[in-house]
Amino acid sequence: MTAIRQRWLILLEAGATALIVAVVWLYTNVANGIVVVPARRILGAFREEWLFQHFVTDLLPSLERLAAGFALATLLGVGVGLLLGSFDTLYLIWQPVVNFLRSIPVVSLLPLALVVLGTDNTMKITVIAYATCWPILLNTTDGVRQLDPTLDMTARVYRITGVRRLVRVVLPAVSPRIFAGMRATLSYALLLLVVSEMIGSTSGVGFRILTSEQTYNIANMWAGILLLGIIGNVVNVLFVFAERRALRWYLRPGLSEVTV
Amino acid sequence: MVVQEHGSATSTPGQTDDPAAHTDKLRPADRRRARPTARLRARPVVLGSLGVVLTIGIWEFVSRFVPVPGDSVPPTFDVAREFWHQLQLSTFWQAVWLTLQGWGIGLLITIVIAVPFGLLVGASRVIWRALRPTVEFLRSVPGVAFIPVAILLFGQETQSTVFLVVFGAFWPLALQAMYGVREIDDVARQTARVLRLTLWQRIRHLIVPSMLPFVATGVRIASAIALIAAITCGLVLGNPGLGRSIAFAEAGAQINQMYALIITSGVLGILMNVGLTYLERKAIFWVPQGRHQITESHK
Repeated sequence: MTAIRQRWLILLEAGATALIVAVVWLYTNVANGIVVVPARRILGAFREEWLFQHFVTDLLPSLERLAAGFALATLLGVGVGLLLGSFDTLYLIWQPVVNFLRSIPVVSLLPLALVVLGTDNTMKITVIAYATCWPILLNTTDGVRQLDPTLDMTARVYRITGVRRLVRVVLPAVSPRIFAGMRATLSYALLLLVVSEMIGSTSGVGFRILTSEQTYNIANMWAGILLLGIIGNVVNVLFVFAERRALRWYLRPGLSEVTV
Repeated sequence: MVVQEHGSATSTPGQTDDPAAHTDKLRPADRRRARPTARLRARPVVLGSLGVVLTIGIWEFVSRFVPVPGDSVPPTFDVAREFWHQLQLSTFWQAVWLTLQGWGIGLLITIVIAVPFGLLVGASRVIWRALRPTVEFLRSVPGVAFIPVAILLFGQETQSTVFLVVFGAFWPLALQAMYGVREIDDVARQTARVLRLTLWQRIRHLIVPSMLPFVATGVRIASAIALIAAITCGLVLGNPGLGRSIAFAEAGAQINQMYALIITSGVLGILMNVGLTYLERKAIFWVPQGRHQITESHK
């Protein structure tokens, strides 16, 4: 019964998506405008541009910046978050500053980053890391502060302290929240990647999209946007996969419903 | 899939069960004993101010003694003076106004489109399944990727800012609205059925009250992204507004001015967050404290 229903729903998903794609395909074929290009030409441009002419020169640098920035943000967010979460005084001291810094719309810091760091990779990675670290930092801090009292007391009774407590008790307990913060912030990483490549760059997907538009190569522009969608999706899927593996103990059925 | 909120500016722990809140009712004899709690209450303020002072001190130290490329860390006093100077310029207020305009119009349009969309998609499992792959794909395209499209369609006009704000803010809000509909209490739903509420009554008494908390949180998330989109438009497209002013200050090596404008954008961000949090509290007074935060700390 449910199996049949499942199959029917999957069929519905595939059918409806095919229909949407077909409608877009036909629409782009008949419509005229500055920005509408036949879908066939976009796919053609995609094959030419990204398979594999600009793959090494533009796609790989972008992915590298994304990965480096995100990794740095995780380290920073978890590290500082653990510190602020563990010491109440530190938390109270830095809370207003943290709140102000994370309220600055990150893109307005880009010109400053240009002045300080120039236009090279370091700038982009730093900017991505900065923008991305806040949700991770805040989630980690809150997680440590709201540590399950039973867990905390059990650790105390067993005299688990210091580094051992941090690694064996605190980190596992807050890891679901760390992952939640990382997932929430993935889209910010991608956003900052694109903007930083549009502002100060001579390579990257964002750079290609903008130059394609400036040379009125509209099909190439859409191909780049399509590529960004693909990157976003692949990164998301990879992340969910990693999260499922890392939090397997936590995601056991009945324990919670982190993912649907 | 759960939307995680980026923390909230007002989540001061211990806010609800603050022992010092009762000091006024105490008899004089007890008040002495209550003093430590009063001190406890002042602690966040004192320590928080200490943090601010420390930050300014570190900044001043860096600007004086640490060599940074391009003299990019000016003394705090210079920035403060420049900030004060900016406050008296009409160009400054115009830039702020234009940024706020793009943000506000964009956010309004987003609310008008995204909430009904979320309602529709969230209410029907069939529609959700039919649209899921498309939605999942589209929402992972960053809104700023459409900057070139905005340039082609509208040029350097307010419309292109609005267009990009909508593209950036749509999905976060639509998804929150969708979860809101899904979270309608089963018992409440069945009660409505038993009472044979009409469609209008169901919307009024069942759907809106349970959706609104999620929508309110969604608007707050969308607002932050909308501000980013509005400023990006100034930076990349050269649309008049704060973003462009910051880019100009950078290009003209007006470091103090750049800092003043960046701080302004931060102040705007805080004001929006605080304002929307306040509205959220007012608008969803019927939700027991903490319940609407389900999305924030869903683990």
